[in-house]
Amino acid sequence: MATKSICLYFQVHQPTRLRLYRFFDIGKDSHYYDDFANRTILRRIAQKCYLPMNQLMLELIKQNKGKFKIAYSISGSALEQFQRFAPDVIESFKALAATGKVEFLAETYYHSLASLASESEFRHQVAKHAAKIEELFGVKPTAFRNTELIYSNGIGEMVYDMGYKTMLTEGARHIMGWKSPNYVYTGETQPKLKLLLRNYGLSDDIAFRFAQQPVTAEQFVEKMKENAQEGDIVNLFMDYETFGEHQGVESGIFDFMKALPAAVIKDGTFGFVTPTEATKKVKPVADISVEDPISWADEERDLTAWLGNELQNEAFKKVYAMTEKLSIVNDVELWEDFGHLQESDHFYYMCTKFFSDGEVHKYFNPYDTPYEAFINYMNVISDFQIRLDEKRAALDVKETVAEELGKSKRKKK
Amino acid sequence: MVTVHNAVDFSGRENLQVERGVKDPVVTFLGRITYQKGPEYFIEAAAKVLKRTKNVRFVMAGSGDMMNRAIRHAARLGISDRFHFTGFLRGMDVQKMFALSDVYIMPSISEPFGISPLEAMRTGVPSIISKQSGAAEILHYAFKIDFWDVDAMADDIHALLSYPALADFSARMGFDEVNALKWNGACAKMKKVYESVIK
Repeated sequence: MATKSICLYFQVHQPTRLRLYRFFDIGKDSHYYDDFANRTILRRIAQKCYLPMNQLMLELIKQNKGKFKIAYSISGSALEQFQRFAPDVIESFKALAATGKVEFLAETYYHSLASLASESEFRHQVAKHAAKIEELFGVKPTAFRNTELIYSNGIGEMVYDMGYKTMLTEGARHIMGWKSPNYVYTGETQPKLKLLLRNYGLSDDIAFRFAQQPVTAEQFVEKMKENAQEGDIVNLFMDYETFGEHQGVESGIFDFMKALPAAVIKDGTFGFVTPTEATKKVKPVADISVEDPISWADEERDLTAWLGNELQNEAFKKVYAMTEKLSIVNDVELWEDFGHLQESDHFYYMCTKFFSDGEVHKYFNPYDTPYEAFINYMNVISDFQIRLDEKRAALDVKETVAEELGKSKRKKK
Repeated sequence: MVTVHNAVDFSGRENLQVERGVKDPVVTFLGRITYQKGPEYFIEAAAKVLKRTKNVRFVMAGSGDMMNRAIRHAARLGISDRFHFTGFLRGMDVQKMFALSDVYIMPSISEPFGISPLEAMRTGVPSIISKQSGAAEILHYAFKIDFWDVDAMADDIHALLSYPALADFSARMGFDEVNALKWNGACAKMKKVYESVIK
């Protein structure tokens, strides 16, 4: 019988890319998105990754009769785009959900950094996402992963308070020290929250290095055995777009995935678990202290990919400064745009870390320079502010009118 | 030594009527974003004005080797939602930008002449220019400041935006002034200079 576990989780996200939004558009045109690019890119990745991978996962789940299990976290932004541009992808995820061997994780609806800015916005987005997942796939998420695996003690407390007992994050070297990611841990300030830590060495063997250093499924099982000599669980967390998009089909990545479940089961050391199963099955060994937020991005495993320079900080501050006014106005359209404008990708495009992980950044970036990304984003924010202020002013007028009416009525009495 | 100043030929050009998107008054810098044009002083002045009133927007139109630095500068000061960059403007976009402006500013550190304030004034936009620019010698109805005097710049911007009478006066007089600057006049002056030398 398998004594150790493998937890496979795939991140599915597509940003809502902004169109070229010029100063001259401010106050005149409030459609912010590049629908053409969004549709084109989504259709391409659906053909190269989502549809073939979902098909493959479905076959593997059926072939292995309950022994192969996986987890997905699909952002609300991605789900909206699937519904608009590729409903067949939604259908294939539904088919996966129907097997009962797939866990869907909770995250922020807009793949945002709300956990770092506003607790109320964070809670709102997590609830919105959970409702969407339940509506589409009929299951209520029980495990949580934050955008880009961002975690800190404080975030862990909020997450537990929202009812999630399992959370996924990065096994960042600078917080792990001598500790191995191959155990289950708990939060330092919330010991009831169980943490699964990404084994970045093994995960990146697939996600980043596969095309350059291909491995067979058997070799990979050996590697996992060696890595997890001490330990209970191997957490392989990666972007779903790894398959067919970042690592092309010609790299053999689909064949690798096709062979992996059988190789794992045949070897017998490991059994597949989903995140919630993992934290039920595997006992935590210690707690982990994370004062400053960590993430799975770049060498630093911190927040500097999104909040590392003055451009990003300014944009971030300006967008969240509107939260209070928005809740007063409480307008559906504004909430929706506000959500999309919070997608972490917009801040990622403004990153100036060209030298270390610039290559990865460039690949994901529709802008030539971070400055262009910033200008475009701020122009959009400026238009959004105008709309917000107008709605707010209209509300004041309404209130005054209501007040006046109230007064005159009272007088009549 | 005699100076013969430039003129501008505005023939065949009507002022554009454009629909305004932003309701707030717009203060514009238009030109290459390079050291000599003093973009940093404009940003500092903008931040000072914004401390006093929020209902104004600043635009830095153009491109140049200081552009990225200027963007970071505005971001650091926390005014990026009120301070906009358009990038390089082509063709009609230049006219459009002037038409959308309420104050034009040219805080050049050194400028042999500087034709753009004339274009602004011709569009009826009151202008603030640095004393260090050549145009300062002939434009009586432009506001003049030392390029480094950020406080004076902020004061003038604020005054032009807050006192409509001042802005109207300066726009009207400036319009007449630049229309009177003809190449014919410049040529006649040049001719006189030559004649005096030959004598």
